[in-house]
Amino acid sequence: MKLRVESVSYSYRKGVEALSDVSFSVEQGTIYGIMGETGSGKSTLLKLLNGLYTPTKGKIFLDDREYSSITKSTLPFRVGLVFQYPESQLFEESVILDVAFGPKNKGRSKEEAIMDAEKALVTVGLKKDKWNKSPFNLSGGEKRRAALAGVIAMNPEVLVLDEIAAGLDKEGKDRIFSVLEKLKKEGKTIIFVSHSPDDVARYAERVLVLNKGKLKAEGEVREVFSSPSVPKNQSEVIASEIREKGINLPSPILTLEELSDEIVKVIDK
Amino acid sequence: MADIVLDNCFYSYSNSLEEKVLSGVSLRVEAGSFISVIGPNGSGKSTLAKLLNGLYIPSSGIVEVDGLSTREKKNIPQIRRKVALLFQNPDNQIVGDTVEDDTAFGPENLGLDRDEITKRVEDSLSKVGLLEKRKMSPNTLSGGEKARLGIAGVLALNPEVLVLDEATAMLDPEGRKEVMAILQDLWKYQGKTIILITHHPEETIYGERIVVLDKGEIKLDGSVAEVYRKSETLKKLGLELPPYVELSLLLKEKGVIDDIAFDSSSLCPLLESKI
Repeated sequence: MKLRVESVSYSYRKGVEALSDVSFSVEQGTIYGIMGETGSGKSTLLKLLNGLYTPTKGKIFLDDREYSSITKSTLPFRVGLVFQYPESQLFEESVILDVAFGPKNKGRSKEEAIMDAEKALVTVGLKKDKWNKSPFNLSGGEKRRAALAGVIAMNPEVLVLDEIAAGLDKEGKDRIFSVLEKLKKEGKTIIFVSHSPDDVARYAERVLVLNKGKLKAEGEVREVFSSPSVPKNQSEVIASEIREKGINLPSPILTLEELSDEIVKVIDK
Repeated sequence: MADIVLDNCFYSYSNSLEEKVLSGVSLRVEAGSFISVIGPNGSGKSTLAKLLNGLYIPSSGIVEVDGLSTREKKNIPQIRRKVALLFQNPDNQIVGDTVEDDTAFGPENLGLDRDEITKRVEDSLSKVGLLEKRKMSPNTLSGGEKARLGIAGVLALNPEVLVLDEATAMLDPEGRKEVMAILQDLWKYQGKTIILITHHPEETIYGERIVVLDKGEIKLDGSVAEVYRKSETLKKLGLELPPYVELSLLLKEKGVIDDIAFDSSSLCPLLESKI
């Protein structure tokens, strides 16, 4: 599903816009990153995207249907929201029951819900021997993936994720995003929100940068990170330090792997 | 000048010696050095920090500051003047209505005269780059500035050793860089001893020595370069590596370099020899 946001503003109080005049669209099968600091309006945007809030001005479309014409109760199942630290909301006695909770709520029978849950757990790469364990016995990264499975099990067309990589180490992050990569290939639209330029540069194909409620930059990841007004990711900071020492590297550099490849090219010349 | 010596220190919170938080830690911190302490959660880092100024007394073993044992109650005031401890979350440690009042709190408690207090406050605030904001309310400061204010408050006590226990944990990368620049200045040009307890690996490269704790024991202890050459051990402990070290490992794999670098000054010479 394609998601289109058209001149959307949102105010919590009259006269103060938390988000003002933001437009962008996300094609089906894209991993889209929304980057911004605390107070940039990214949490507000997230809640607009999954229909928790209604725009004060502007419109949001899922394919060509405006949100207001979609039955309100079905929207959260079509645009699934994964909250920050979702593992804090695991509560059932076993992992499988926890993941089955969403589809059951959506109206699937108990057997169907379990089948949906099993499929989602396979997608996130949680092994079968963990399915009947208490969620509290999982490691941090596993808990995060179980919580993600809970939303995937509802089979949403669009996934919106708030700080999905926060607090995970590099390996944990790579695992989560390889799951998202898989979902993207199945045609899901993935939107993740992050305060980290490193994660956005590494994992997003297209990027929206928010600053104080306004759109600061939008476009293909490499194009956005070329802009001097966008916060630099760590690999680019290192690359610029190396450039200062007189070694010529292209810009921008998005990951450490890319940086090492570019260094090899310079040396091979 | 205050050397700190830990000799075979054990520590447990309960009486049961089963659950030791620290287990046979021996360490000598020479006056004027900059040591970073890293380790997984629960490795005993914070406990170690609290042993250094007598906030905790080891269950067995000895901690001596400048030859004064923390075990002797009468030594504690003197030890606390030499060794200052700074914790996470600067908001909890802010007490004054203005930046300068806040900084004056410590010296006032020492009973110093007005002129000396004013001098120390100005001196400390200028060292952390907050002199211009002296009349402002601490609440208007950014995270990085609040952390610097915390350091100023400690500097006004004129300690020889600064122990920072995850003092940058709440800060964004920009704020952490501000604090690191100040610590480096205090170490290089003011002769202070810095003991930095951190879970941000990139901060360790500002110092000269790294101690790695795991399950209450010292796993590695050496220069920054020595410790990062043993990156396998760090990875096994689940510790992240500074980005330059990660990059070095990638370049090593590709056969470009054969040593580990931890900043641009150590990396570029390795590369230039190949170009």
